[in-house]
Amino acid sequence: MKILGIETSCDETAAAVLKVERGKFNLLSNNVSSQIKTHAKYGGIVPEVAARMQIEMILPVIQESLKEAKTKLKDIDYISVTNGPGLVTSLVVGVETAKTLSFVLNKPLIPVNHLIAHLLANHLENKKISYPAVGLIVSGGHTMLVLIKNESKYKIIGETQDDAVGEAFDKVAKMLNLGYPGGPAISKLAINGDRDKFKLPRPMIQQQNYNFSFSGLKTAVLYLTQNKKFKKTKQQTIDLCASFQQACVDVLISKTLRAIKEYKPKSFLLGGGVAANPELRKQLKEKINKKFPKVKIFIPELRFTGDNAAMIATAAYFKTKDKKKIDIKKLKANPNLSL
Amino acid sequence: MKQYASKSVTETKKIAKNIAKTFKGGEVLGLVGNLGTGKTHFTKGLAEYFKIQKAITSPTFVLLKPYKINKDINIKQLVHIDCYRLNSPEELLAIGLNEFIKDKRNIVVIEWAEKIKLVLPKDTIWINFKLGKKENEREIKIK
Repeated sequence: MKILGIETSCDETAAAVLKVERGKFNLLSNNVSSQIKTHAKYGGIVPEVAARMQIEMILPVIQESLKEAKTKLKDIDYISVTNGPGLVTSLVVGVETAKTLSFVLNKPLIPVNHLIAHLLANHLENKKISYPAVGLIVSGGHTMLVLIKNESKYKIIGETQDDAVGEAFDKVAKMLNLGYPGGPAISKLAINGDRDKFKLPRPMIQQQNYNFSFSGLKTAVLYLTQNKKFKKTKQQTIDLCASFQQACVDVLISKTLRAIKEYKPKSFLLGGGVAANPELRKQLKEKINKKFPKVKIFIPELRFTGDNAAMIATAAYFKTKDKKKIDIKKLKANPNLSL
Repeated sequence: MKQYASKSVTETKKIAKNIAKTFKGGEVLGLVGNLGTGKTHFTKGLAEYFKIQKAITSPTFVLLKPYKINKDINIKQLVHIDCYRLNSPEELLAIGLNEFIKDKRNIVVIEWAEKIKLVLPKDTIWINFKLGKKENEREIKIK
């Protein structure tokens, strides 16, 4: 079985071809517009508006993925696409493209929730994942803990009440003039920083729930940078990066451990762009291993942490068994799609 | 013009609630102020006034989040917009900014609104946020 995955929920335009045989995943191609060589050829000047770039990139990216996978469009069995959540103008490009392909080729269309796909991406490595699992999704737009009964049954148990953790990284990076995206910039500097140098709050860490808050942490960093004692020297900046990152990591881990304690899952799954953060990966593993040695930990390869289409095709695979056929005329992009 | 000195998040929310009382529907609020000056907390205050149960989370990533209002009044929806990531108003126009603004059943709250000043109506209520002298203080100016 071959599944074409399409993902255009935000700034990236992505396509992938996934082959699944006897439940084994074999990723034949996985392209993201900002990386493929054709970018210069087709994209030229990168336009300000993400959606316009999506329109220019979507067909070249799909073509590149098919070519790399040595697969003809007619040999694809299922077309899958992110139908939300995300930026509506960007989502529409992927959804309408997928609907057209599905209609013209007469192949079934599978809409995928972007969020659960981030977690199911862990299946791409073909390791056996036992359910139930607790999943942590960390990205620029989302921060949530999910209880996963199986690949098609899940529910949110907690989420951010204001900013997403990735957004906090971006905004703190902006305050410190570190550029965009902020996550990699901060984690790189933090390596040589002293994480105990600045005392920052751990918002909501004591609350007996699975919710998060990062807005107050961002404001605490703002106050620090405006304090006269803060001279924005190189050392102070890297210490602040390390302290801020540790505050985020502490809250994420603490709530994750609380969820594991309560729901006693067999596995833990991490997903989303911030899952690329080296400290988060390292400390999550250490802490879960120490407190709950029986829980199997799944952390996606770096290339599957950011938005990608391989995860969309993977999530779609688990929906191929659904009997209900999707009416392509009725399918619409849903920017506020929930889990 | 009205000026407030808020000493806490709770006070910022209270100021928002007092303004919300005067709304008739169709108002557009342009919130202007740097990161961490209370724009989102102000919006949370509006949401509390309209008894919106869902947490008002940052719309930075998706640009726009609509919230249904179930109160027995003419105002049916709070539309929370964030222009932080925007360089031009184009993208917001594409997702129907004008339709949201024209609908008199909506209250449209826009953070970083100065970035799209050109496309906002003349009667937009402009609200400026600034850090005060002490850490938790904020200066809020309403035009």
